[in-house]
Amino acid sequence: MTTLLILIGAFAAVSALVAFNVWIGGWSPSRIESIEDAGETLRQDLLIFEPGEKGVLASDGLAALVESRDGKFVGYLSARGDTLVSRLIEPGSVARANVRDGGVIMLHFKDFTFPTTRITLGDDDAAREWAERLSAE
Amino acid sequence: MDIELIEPIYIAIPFFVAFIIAEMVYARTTGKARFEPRDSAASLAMGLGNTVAGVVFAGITGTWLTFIEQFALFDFGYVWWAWIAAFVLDDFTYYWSHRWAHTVRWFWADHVVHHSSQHYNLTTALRQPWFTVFTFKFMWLGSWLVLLGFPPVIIAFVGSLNLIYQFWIHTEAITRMPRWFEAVMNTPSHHRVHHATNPIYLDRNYAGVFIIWDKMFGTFQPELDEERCRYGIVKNLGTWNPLRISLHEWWGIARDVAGSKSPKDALGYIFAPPGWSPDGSRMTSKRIKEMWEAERGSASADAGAETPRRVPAE
Repeated sequence: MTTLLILIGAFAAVSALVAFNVWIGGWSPSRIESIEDAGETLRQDLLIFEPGEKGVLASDGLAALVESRDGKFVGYLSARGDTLVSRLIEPGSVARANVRDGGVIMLHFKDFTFPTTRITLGDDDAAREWAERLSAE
Repeated sequence: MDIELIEPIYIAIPFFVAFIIAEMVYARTTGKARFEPRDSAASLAMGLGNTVAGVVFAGITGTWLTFIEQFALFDFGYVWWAWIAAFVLDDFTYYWSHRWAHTVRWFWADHVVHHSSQHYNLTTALRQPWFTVFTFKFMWLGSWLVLLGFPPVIIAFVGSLNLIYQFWIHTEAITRMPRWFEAVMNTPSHHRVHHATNPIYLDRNYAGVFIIWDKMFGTFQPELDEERCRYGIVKNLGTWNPLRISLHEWWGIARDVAGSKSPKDALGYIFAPPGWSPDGSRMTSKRIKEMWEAERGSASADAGAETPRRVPAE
């Protein structure tokens, strides 16, 4: 019984702490400022990635796609909360890439830790071109 | 003589909550620490789940330690020095257990959970795994101390004290402690290095309470003012889902083993260092450090200056 009460108390404490964190604020959602910044971050994060010339920044600044210099890979940078998360997209990394109206790519990775993400390019043609490139086996 | 002690972590929980609130206020008012609600929620949910798992699996650990107690070489009982000796020896055991948790993928699959946040605050201390029982740590972690002659109750108690000590070192709010303290004890500065993914910091500072173990066994790295810590893992998570956080490396092992071409490869995927692969196409911490050293060397030769590029790793 004591253990149960402790666990209930712990659950209440966790909920209260998260609510307090939301209420007190103090963080800023991350944004990607430019393709150059995205390329540099990808270069740092992915180690074997050298950014090339070709790339696209999402219109909301929440994602960027940068092709590697040798054209073999695409580096994907995504804003998550107040941090950025990188992925190296190789042939076979993507389960499917669907294009929606408004130039939106819904990208489904074969990645347990990063299943689905949304890239808003705002340009249907560009979205289709990148979706085709990303889902290439 | 048999004694019963209350689980010290239960007593510590209200203090954990109070300190987390204080650090959130400090972060908000000074900007010198970082919190993000979804990250905090994930970390705290992991902590809660770990506590539940602890309750569920405590019986297994207790039964095991009580079983092996009959084979103990000595019976130290509950004399005062036994508590102190057990605390120090348990911390020594923690050092090696922690070191293997970073160098053997089977153990890393469990421990990676704790390193999976890109933040470093007091909630990160509570981001703990749910499925530690899969590692069978309970069978060997405290066993040698019980076999030596320490009562299981003492081992469980000092183990909890060790974990409680490690709570407060998960913060960016404290820059440095007094020099004498930094020399002997694990501190926020030393442990920031441990959580950092900068190549120079990789696989360093495994200590729990006493940093002396790292100094003795060659794994100590002081925090450098010119090299700001970047927290997380090689492949940072794109999810705040606690179940995915808990299982992702176990899932990775299962997938790799299922796709392995030989039993040797399968064993490598399970027991080799994280990042190992038969063809060397992935990167272990050792390889990342080698690449960084090579790059630093060539950069120095080219420019006569050292500006190491930071790369993340596990």
